[in-house]
Amino acid sequence: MVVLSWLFVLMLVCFAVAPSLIAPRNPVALDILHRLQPPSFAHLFGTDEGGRDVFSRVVYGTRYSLGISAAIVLSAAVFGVVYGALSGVGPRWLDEILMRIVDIFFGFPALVLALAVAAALGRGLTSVAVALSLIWWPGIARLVRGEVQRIRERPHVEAARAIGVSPTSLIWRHILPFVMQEVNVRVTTDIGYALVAVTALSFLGLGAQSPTPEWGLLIRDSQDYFGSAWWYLVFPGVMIMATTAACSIIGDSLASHRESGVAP
Amino acid sequence: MLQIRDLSVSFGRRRAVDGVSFDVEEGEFFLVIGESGSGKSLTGGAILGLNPSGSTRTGSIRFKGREMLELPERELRHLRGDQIGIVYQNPLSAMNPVIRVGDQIAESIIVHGKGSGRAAATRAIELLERVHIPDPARVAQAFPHEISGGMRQRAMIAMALACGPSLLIADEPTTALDVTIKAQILELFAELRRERSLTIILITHDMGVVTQLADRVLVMYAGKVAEVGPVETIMNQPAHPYTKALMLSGAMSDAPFKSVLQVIPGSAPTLDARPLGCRFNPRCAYAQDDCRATMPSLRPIAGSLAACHHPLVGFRHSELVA
Amino acid sequence: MTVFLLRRVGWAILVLFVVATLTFVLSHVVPADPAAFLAGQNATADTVARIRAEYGLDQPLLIQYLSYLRGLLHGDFGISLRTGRPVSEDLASFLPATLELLFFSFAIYVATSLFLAIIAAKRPGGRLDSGIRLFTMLGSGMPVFWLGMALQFLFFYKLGLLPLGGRFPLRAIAPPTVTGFLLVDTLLAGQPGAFLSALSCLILPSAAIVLNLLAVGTRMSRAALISESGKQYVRTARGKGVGPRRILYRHVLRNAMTPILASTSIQFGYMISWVILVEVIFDWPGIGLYAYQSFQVFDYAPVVALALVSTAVFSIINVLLDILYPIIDPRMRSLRA
Repeated sequence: MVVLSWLFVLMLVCFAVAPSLIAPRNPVALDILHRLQPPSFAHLFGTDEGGRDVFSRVVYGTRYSLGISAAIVLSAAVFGVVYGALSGVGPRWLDEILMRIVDIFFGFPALVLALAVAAALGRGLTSVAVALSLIWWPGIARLVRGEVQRIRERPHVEAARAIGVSPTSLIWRHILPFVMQEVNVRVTTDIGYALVAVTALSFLGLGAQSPTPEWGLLIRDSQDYFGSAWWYLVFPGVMIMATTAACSIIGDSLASHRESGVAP
Repeated sequence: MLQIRDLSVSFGRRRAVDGVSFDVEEGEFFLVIGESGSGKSLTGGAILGLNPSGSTRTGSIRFKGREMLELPERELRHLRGDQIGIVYQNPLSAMNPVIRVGDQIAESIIVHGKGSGRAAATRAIELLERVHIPDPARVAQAFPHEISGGMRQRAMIAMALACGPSLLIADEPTTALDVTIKAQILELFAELRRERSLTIILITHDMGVVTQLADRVLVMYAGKVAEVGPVETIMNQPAHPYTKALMLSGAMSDAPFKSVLQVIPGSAPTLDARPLGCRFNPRCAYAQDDCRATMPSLRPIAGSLAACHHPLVGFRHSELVA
Repeated sequence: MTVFLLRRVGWAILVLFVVATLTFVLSHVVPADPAAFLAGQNATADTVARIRAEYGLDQPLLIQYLSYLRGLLHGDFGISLRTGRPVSEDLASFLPATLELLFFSFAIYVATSLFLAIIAAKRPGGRLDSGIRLFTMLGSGMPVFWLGMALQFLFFYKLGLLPLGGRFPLRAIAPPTVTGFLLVDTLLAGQPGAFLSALSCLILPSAAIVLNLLAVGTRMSRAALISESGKQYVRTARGKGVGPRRILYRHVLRNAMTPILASTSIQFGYMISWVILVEVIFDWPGIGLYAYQSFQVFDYAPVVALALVSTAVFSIINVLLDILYPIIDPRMRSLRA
């Protein structure tokens, strides 16, 4: 399963980097004569209401859907690690303030807030990226802060402190490397969840705009047709699900590696 | 009242309790003693069919003439709490934290159909009074975490007595209690036995318990009976070297088992690493070749039954103390 | 206890304040010209000027912010450009539909996840346990909007069993509004047929929400049940002669409720988000659909209202849960006293 997941992710990366090499057709060119065709060898995933090849649109869409998801989680991770580390090693009062701010973010339904923010910023994938990064970092900050505090208590850190290692070097060489293992697991799994959030906002019309072949938008566009053209709904959805599943499986395998790799 | 023959409790192929036999007479105060892992608690649980999942029982347990191993779960359930009461150690975790003390006692009365609702609640307060809890009506309304450890243990005993059982099994009821409370609880057992002609099986690893109350003592080691006999004999003339070590530790202090470990070198064997022959032989100062080859069986020695190839004779407790 | 509750309520108000401020900043500071933004893309300069005056956008930001907050305190969310009515009035007419969907889904979620967890916890690792795990994982793996459409495809387009969307069939006669919840109102009006129609409209939207959340809910409840079943008080209860059913319901379940409730709070946040998506898919006339239709035409006030109202609902649920904990677990009472 793990190998399969890696292969799938590798395939997605190819899709995102060089869609023109893989996609058989132009993802935006209309071909009204062949509208809403069921899957065939000519059109692996069938065609949409404009006769566009759904498979090509899915391939081209990878860059938008998955690229934005990865960007959201990575930016949230960078900010979250700095924030969480500051909270974890800083003085008590700072920790208290920083964590209260994080708590506020757990006080409202995150996706609704992201929706409001994205709507205020105007439509487009950038708005979606900003809105979701804004709600994404607190979870990572909380994780990092907890890990930093846990690892700070470990004997090897105590020992390093006892022999007079400087605080900066303590954080960089003795604490962060362990925290990052935890963060890697989280980031991997979260990319899958971010994909669901990105496509959800696109589905609501907040993200990519037609005719951009973004996966969530594909599903939004299929709304009027899927009753008679199942492929239009099914394939973009299957891509989202497979990506989310692959991310969790890889995340789980990273998590088990971390457990065996590090002496307590 | 209770006849146990060749009882074994096994986890897969490993026998945690291995061929234990003993009788308990009506009205007797019977003590089972052993280190943790000796199988004493499993033996107690086996009587009621309350062993952990994954374990199997073989042999025979006859309670008032009925074969307990053949009873279906439904009938066993009718016996539990009604004919046989059980008291566990550490009442803070052994009592349900979210149910009021009185309701936990009343539950026993209700499930056995001996009164419902208000009658059971009143009875619960009487039982609390019976085990000398001051202000029983208030304690009945309390939650387990709101009362002291000694009170909780008394409440546990009240729970076990709720339906007037004829046999009470107490599994390390004094562990985690301080010395004065421990003495009070033991006194309560003695009193209940006098006044209710209750048969009591007390399971313990605590030597301080033996001396005052019990009629007979069963010493268990690594799943086997090491020695069984009247308390005076066991106290004054232990035949098994292990019993002797136990008595020595008991004589030295009231402290529980830690001291035994100081008296006897080594530790009790785990389930997977039991030695050939007598299971005590690696730690026994008197061990000889036959002890390492064949397992001794119980045989009468100087007023008790002991499983030892080379029993101690003429050993006197008083010599030890001196 | 009272102090604790006051602190929780104070916290909820702080969170609402943050949401209000954030949405204000985003809608008034980020767009270069909020009036133009409000007026929409095809507005004339005249319209923009009129809107600027009407909304007080010609005043300093701080004054605008204060009057905005004052308005919110009085339940004034502004005017919706799309409907031309005060947002608060629109909310009043759309909120019951949302709450009905939310509470109905929540009830089904709690009941189903508990039921599945009880079955799964009976024999951990058994065939039923694995089956339940597979089934719930499948549901949570699907994005909720996609799952909703897949359900529409199956139960409307293919099987024709359930309606495509809406809250009540157009041709049916709606009952007089008492609670605003159609399930309740139809029963109060003594219209069992209408009740069934309302129910049939609820099934698919709630199914989409519940199926998505079931995996986590069942896993949490199952773990809590298994951990509680191994506790010593269960052995004591068996020693008293208590049967397995009574042990489950009287002893294990009550103790397992505390961790189950804790997970419920987080799940409720998701549930609110999913309700909005599902309303759009199933044409459910609640505040999610209302806000959605509004921001399609750049009408932003309803979106702010949606964010505030859903945060308020979430906060209220969390405070209610906080009240519930000490009722379920008496140990928490002394902790908080």
